[in-house]
Amino acid sequence: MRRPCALLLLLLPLLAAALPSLQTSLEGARATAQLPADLLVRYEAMHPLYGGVIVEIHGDGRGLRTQRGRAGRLSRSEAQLSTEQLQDLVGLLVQHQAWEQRVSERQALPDEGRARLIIQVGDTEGGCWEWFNDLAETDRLVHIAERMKALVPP
Amino acid sequence: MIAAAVLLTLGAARAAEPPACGLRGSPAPLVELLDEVVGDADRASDGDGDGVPDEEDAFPSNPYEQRDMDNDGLGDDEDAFPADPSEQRDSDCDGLGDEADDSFDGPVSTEVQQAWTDGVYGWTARFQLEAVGEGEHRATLRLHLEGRRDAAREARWEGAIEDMWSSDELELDVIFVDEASAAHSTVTVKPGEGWTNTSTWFAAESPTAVAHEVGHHLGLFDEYPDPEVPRRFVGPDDSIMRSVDPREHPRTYPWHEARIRSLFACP
Repeated sequence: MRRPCALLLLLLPLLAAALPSLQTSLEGARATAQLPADLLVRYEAMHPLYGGVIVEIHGDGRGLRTQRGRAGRLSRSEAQLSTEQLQDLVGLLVQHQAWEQRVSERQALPDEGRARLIIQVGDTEGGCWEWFNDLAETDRLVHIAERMKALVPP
Repeated sequence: MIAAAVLLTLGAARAAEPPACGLRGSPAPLVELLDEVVGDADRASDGDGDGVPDEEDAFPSNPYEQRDMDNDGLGDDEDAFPADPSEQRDSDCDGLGDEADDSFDGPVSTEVQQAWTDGVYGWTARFQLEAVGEGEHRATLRLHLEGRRDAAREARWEGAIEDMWSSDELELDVIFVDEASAAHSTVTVKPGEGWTNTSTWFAAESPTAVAHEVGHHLGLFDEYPDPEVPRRFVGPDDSIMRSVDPREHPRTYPWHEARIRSLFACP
């Protein structure tokens, strides 16, 4: 009984490696121009005090935007993206290796707020976040955010 | 066993990805997000989120005070004589309580430098706090603004900040100084609009929001619901530490001034 268990444990890393990572999925999608239908890219920059925006783009081209102003009023908009626009976005994610969390956690300042990017392909999820005061200096997440906001205007 | 191995494998594959950093699925309205942050049950047992249950908290709606040993109505943090119900302050720091002291031998000045944390947030409050009379204080905050200076804008900000934080017993003087070395803190002023915070203000920012940020410089905590700080005290809708929307007419509450004054320590 112990041998099969040991064998399985040895195989686990191999089985894990056999599942596609986000990097593999996105690089593959860019190379083959075949977008995974279950792709979801979500940018969240919603500040409890100041409001902000959430943009969600799906592999089938659906784009949703939720925006909240300081007065708390929510507005929503939708867009249907072309395959070229989706490919362009995937290319940007690959360019910035957006599945990698590059900045470490640090103590933030009051009211600073965090911007997050979440990428899902099937059951695989990853992404990155940055504190608001770091966005300009890191010059990374802000590019993806601006592209997504342009794709799904208010 | 095979099923277990597959589950383990899937788990390992997920673990190999960078940590998930947010909510999955469709965008949830912020209201729903915030409702998850502070559940009703938590609020009922510890309304001010200070970690002391309401039944043990002498000030269940004040996150800054928990005890009042001498039952004189003033929290122990602010009370210079926490075990003497007949005395609360020693404004001139001569060891004699104001009630028993016939003369005020002041003013007495102290430099406040106090580090605070609020969940993932952390900052240091630095300002001068001076006892200028019995039960009367003057706070002076010298800020160095980095970026393009604008006298008219700074005058607007200064007026709004001082109006917000000054009262009969606490006077706030904000001074924008040219040299960082002469300042208690430095604030970067960026063009346009954005998420103004303790160290970065935006040029188009409302004076109300700037007054809110000065609240932090004076040692006050935020009072709005924030998923980053699940057990935070949530203040009234019009508390300046909860809202910066001018339509709410944000204002101070007694615990704000009490907190600032409690930072006065006799040299």
